[in-house]
Amino acid sequence: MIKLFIISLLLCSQNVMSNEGEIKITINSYLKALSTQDLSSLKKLTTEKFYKSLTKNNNLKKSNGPTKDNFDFDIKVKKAERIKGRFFVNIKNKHSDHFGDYWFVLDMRAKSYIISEMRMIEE
Amino acid sequence: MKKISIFLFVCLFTLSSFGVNKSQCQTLLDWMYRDLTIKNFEVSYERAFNKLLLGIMTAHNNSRRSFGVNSDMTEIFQALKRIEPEYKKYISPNLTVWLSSFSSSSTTSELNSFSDVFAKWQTLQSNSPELFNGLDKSYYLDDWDQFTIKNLLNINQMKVSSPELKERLSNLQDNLNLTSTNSLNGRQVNFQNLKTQINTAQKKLVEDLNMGAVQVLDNFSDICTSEEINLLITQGQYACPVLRDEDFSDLNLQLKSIEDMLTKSKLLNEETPKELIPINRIDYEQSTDPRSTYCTRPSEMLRMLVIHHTATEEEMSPTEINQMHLENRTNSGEPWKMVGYNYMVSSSFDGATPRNPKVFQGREDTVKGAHAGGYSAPLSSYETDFYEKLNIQCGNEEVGMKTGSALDQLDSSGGISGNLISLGIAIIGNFSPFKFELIDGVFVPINPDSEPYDSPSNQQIDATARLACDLQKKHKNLKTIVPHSYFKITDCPGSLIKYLNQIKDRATIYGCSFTVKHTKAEGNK
Repeated sequence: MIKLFIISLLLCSQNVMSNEGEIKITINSYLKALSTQDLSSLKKLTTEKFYKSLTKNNNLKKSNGPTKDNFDFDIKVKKAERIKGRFFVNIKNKHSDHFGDYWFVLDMRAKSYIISEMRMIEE
Repeated sequence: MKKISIFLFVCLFTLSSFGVNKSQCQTLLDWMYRDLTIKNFEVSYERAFNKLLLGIMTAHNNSRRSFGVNSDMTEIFQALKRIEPEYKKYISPNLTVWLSSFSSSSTTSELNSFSDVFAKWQTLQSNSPELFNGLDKSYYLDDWDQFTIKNLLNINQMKVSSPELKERLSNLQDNLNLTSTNSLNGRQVNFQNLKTQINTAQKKLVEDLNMGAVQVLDNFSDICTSEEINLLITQGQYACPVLRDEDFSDLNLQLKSIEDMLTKSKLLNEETPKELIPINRIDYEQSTDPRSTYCTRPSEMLRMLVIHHTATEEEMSPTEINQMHLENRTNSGEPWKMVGYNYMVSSSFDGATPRNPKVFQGREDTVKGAHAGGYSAPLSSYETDFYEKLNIQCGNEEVGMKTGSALDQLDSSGGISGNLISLGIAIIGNFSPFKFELIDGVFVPINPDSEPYDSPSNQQIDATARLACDLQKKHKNLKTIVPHSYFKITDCPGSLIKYLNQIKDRATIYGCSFTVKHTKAEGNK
């Protein structure tokens, strides 16, 4: 019985880890889409509402450096308390001291994540 | 008057049944005096407004002659131009030239309306006496003027017997509150005219109050015997001027007497609103998760008001914000109990509008909030002693409440939890700009929903000031207003940070006293 409990705990923690991994991949894709101003990828990665807010008033700015596939950043993930498949995600530069107030809200849609909004979360 | 007549009838009946009663006589006199004061608001306002104009012209002349430019005065002049562009036309030519020299200035002002200007003017009068050289003290804004402005701002909550008068007073209130007015409306503005108008208003006030007092005595001579009235007057309990001509010329003395009477009168206590702004309550959904705990605290622990914006659309309701916060977890993974703020100021929910914002209670005052997210400056030994005596209780219905010390909530540098010692007030809306954050060379849009990035309305600031003042009356140690960024590195409260002094100044008009601190370094001073 105890073994079964430990196994289920392990499975559960692996599940969270796998979520975090998937989320990191999604954010990486988002950063890539932003850096290249790849609007079709951006559209796939975000909800219609968030996409609109991103693209209104020419809100996007292309990166200056060479195109990259992988970005280096720290990530903090919190599972939403009540909405299933929702995560709050904060990112920062590796060398930054602290995370900002604004968190991405990611929702699971058909086994992948979509960025729904950005939200200020006060702790 | 109808109300007074009804009351008089009831009183007469009572008195004829039980004999004359000193306290009833007192109540009637109080009632009549209050009515007189309301009827004289327009004259009082005229007097205050003309004094302000006279003060402006005097200050302008004095500053030009020898004292250079005073930054507070400059701010006031800029505000006046903004509130009422016609000022240039009506104020003396010299002043017009001087005012126009500021037209290109980029200084941001916190003064949006005449009530702000009045509040600021009081400060200017006391801090910069050199600007008022040559002006007789009788032309300074005084307590009577402040009393007038304060009560006009609250006129909606006062019972005025005549609907026409109430409407006229509401117009004056608008004139004080609006960010764009036409109060000058063709009036001739020069030193002599203003002095004449002030003197006329003063004379009329004195006459009206005198006549009113005579009427009081005449109308109620059946109830209050002359001996009783004399006794009351000689004991100094009343502003009845008939036998005290020499005192009556001083309106401030009258004001004090009237205020004393207002305080004493039971009838008036029933009518005077207990709160400057009503607090609306919502039956919020709360987390029932046993891991979701909260702490309660005593009133004495509350020392700061933390000003936030919600960084959401203005249309978001307190209920939706509660739902949003129920999704949150603390850093240790506990679900939030409910909305983190103690109060929210809405301009759209439940009939609220930008011109008539409403206040909604979030967490009860006695419940530690979830909004500040940081710690105070390290506590002094005095503060340590203070908090040591105060206990808090943490837990929930499921696990029970456990008593602990406030000093359990210190950080490594000895600062105390901001949430524990403060109340969080959030103005619903997004007052932060859109910006980029550079993450590994990528420009990541932050706060993309921020449109329009706007300033708060005059009424939102006023509602916050009223709330602040109401809260100070409940919690005596609540003396400091800080932005959210006082406690941690954050954009919050966005542009609201520029309005904290305005909130403080407004609260002063309502009879409260706050200090504004923007950083912890100020906290240590």
